[in-house]
Amino acid sequence: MLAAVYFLRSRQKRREVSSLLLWPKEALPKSGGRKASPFRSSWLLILELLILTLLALAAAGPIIGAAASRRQVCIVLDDSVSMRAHDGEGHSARTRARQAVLAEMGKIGRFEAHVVVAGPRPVLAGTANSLQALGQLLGETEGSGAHWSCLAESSDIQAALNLVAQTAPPGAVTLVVSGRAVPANLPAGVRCMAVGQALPNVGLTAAARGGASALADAGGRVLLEISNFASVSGKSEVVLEVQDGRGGWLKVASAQAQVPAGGRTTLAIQTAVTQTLRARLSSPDALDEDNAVLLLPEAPRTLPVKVEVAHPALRAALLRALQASGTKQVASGAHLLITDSPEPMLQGDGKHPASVEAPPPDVWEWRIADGGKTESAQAFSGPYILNHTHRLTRGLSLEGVVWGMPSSGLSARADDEEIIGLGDRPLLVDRLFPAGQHRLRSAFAPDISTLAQTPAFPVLVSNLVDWRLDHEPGLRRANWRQGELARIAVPVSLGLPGAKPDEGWLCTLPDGRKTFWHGGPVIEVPTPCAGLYGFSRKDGPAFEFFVNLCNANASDLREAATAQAGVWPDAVALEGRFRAAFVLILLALALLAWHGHLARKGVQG
Amino acid sequence: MLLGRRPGSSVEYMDHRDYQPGDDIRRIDWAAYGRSDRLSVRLYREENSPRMDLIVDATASMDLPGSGKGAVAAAWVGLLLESALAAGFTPALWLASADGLRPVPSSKNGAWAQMLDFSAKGNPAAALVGRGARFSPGAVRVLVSDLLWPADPGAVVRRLATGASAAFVVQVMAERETRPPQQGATRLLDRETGEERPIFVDAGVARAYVENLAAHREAWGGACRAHGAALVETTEADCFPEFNSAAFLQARLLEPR
Repeated sequence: MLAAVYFLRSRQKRREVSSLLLWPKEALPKSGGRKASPFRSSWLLILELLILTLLALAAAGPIIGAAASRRQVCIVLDDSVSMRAHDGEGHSARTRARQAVLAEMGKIGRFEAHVVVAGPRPVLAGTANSLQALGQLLGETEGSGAHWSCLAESSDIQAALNLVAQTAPPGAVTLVVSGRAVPANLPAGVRCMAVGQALPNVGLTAAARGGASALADAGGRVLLEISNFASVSGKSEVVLEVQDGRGGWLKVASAQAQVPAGGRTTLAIQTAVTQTLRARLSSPDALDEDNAVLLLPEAPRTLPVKVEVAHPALRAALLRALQASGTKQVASGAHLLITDSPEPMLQGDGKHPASVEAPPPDVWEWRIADGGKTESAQAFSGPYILNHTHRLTRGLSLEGVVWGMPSSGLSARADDEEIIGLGDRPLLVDRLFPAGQHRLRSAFAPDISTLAQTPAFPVLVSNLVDWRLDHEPGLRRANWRQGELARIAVPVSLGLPGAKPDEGWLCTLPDGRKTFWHGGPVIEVPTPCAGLYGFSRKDGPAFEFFVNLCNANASDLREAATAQAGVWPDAVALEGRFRAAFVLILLALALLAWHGHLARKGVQG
Repeated sequence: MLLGRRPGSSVEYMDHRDYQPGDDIRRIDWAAYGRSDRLSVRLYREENSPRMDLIVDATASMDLPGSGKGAVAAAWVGLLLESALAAGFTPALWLASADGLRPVPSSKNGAWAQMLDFSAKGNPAAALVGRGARFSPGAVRVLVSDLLWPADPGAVVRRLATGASAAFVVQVMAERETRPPQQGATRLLDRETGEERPIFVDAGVARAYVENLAAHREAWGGACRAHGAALVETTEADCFPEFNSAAFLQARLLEPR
C-alpha cells in the first residue's frame, strides 16, 4: 500500500471547476502527470516499508505461530483386556475409545498426537499428525492395532502419565482414554474419558494342571477357579477339550459349579489326558478372553536327593519332609545332599592356603550338623533372627522351637550369608559357589532340639527343595498366569554373560516377537500376553510354556464406567511469540524515530 | 410598493432642505417657517414603479457537477420571485450568457424555476454591460451569478445600478469553491470553456486560490459599494437543510413582513 502511494503519488485527479479564473497558473513538477512515478532510491520509503513489515509481523506473529504450530497432544490408551469387553450389540470399549479419540482430535484441527499405550508398563506407540494417520496407528479393530491390542492383564495409567510427563513436548496436553472409572485429582492439562460399561462377567481367574506323576494312578488333575463378577449367582459349566487333530477341539470332560454373586468357586477335574487341554466356560459373556484357558501338560519334576544323616530321629524327620516335597531318594546322582558330616577342607600345599572344598557341579548341600561335637551342646529357645530375604525362610516361624547348638558353634566365613541366627551366633548359613552350587551349614544338635518335631522343619525342607528345583534346568511350570515372570533355569555354562545373540536363548512370544536372553542360572521371562511361548537355544534344549490371562482384575468389569473429567487449557501458550512481537514493535519504533530524523533533515522521500 | 432612495413624489416623508428658487411652493413647510423663520421644503421619498429585474447567470458554471450550486441559485431565484410577487412587484427574469440577455416570458413566471437552464457557454459580462439589456427604469435589479468570469466589476455594477431604484449582486458559489482546494496533483477542467489545466496543488497553490477568491470578492464588493449596490454571498449552507436569509436581510434585499 505504502509503495503504491509512493509510486502513484503523482497521479492526477480530474477536477471540474466553474472557472479557471481563481486558479494560479503554476508550473507542475516534472513528475507530475505521470501515471506512476519511476523508482528512485528513497531512504524514507525503505524505512517506512521496513516499519510496516515489522509491525505486520508483530501483529500476525502469534496468529501465524498458532496456525503454523500443531497442538501437541499426548494420548494415553488403556491397553487392558477389559477394553475388549463388548456390550449386547457387539461394540467393545476399544471401539468406543477409538471413536472418542478421533472425535476429540477432529475438534482440534492441526495436532501432533503422541500415543502412549498403557499396559502394565507404558509404551510409546508412535506419533501421528493427521486423523488418518492416527486412525491407522490405533488400528481399526483389536487385532489390527500394532501396539494397541488390548491384551494386557492390567493398565497402569499413572505410570503412563509419568512417562508422558517425562517425554511430552512443552505445552502438550494429555487425553487419557480408559474403560475404568475416571481417576480423581487429575494433573493440570489432563483430560480423562472413560468409555467402559459396567457389565456382568464370569471368567476363569486361575488355572493349574497337576503333573501326571503326582497322581499316577488317577491320571492328571485340572484345578480351575471360576469367578462371578455379577450381581446374581449362577451356574457355570466348564468343558475340558483336547485337540482332535483336525484343527478342532474334542470334549473330554465337563463339570458344573454354582458360583455366588461376586464370589468364586474352585473346580478340580480329574482327567487321564496327557495332551494339551483347553478348559472353557460354555456360556459366552461380555469378555471372551477370560472364558477359556489352555493348559500344557506339566512335566514331572522330581528332585534326586541323598540323605546321609546318622541320627535316626533326624533322618526319619528328613525323609518324611522330603517325601512330602516330591523328591526321590537316590544313591548317586543326587542334586541335593543332606548330610551330618562337616564341611570338607582342602589342605594347603605351601603355594595355596587351606580352603573349602566346593560341592560337585549341580549338587547343593545342606550340612545339617556342622557345629562340632554335640556332647556339650546348649539348647536355646530364641529369640531367633531370621533373614527374611532368603528363600529358605519363606513362611518359616521358629516360635517355640528349641534349637540345640553345639558349644563350638558354627564357624561362619565372610562370604557366608546368615539365614538363622541367635544373637551374634549363626545357626544356619548359606554360601554360593562360583559354579552356582549352594552349601547350607547349620549348627544343630538334634538330641536337645525340638526343631525336627515342629512344623517349621518340613517348611524348611520344602523351601530348600523348592529352591533347588527352581534351579533345575528347565521350566518351573508349563503354565503361567499373564504378567508373571516365567522362571526358566538354564545350565550356568550356557548362560555366559556377554554372549552373542545367537549364543543366547531365544524367546518367541505368541505374537511372533522374539527376544534374546543371556545369563543364568535362572532367567525370568516376562509374559505380556496370553499364548504359547517358545524358549530355545541353538544346539541346546527347547522349552514351551503357555500363558493364560487368569486375572481377576481384568475380568471384573463392574468398575467400568462412562465419564469425563479434567479440562485442557483453552489457549495455546503464546507467551514466547508475544515476547517476539514486543521486540519487533520496539524495533519498529526505533526505525520510526530514525525516519523522523531523516525527514527533518530533508532526506528525499 | 417599493420606495426609491431618491426624493420623489410619494406621500412618504423623507427629509427637509432649504428652499431654493424653482422649488414647488406647495411643498414649503409653513409650520417650520413659522418656528424658524426659514423657508424650507418637505422632501418626500420618490415613489418607484414596483418592478424587479432579476438577471440570472445562465452559464454552465452555475450548475457545477458534484455540488448544490445550481440548486442554490434556483432556490434563491424562486424565493426572490415569490417575494417580489408577494410585495406587489412585477418581476422580469433575464437569463444572461455570452449570447446576451434573454428574457423569460412573463406568462411563464409561475414556472420560472423550471425555466432556469444553466447550459449556456461564455462570459455574460458583455451582455450585462452592453446596451442590449433594456431594464425597467426605477426597478430593483438583482444579478444572480457566481461572478467567476473575467470582467470589470465596476462596469457591470454601474450598468446594473444605473436607473435602478436599488441594485443587488447575489454571488452563488459551491461550498467547496470557497474553501482551500484539496492538495495533490490535479487536472482542472473548466466547465464552460472545456480548457484543462494540470496543476499540483500544494499549500502554496491552495493559499493562492484563497487569496484570489478574496481579492475577487473584494473587487466586486468595492464595485457594489461604489455604485450603491449591495453584494450578497451565498452557498449551499444558506439553503440546505433550510434557508438562512440573514445575508439577504442584512443587505435589505429581503425585509421581514
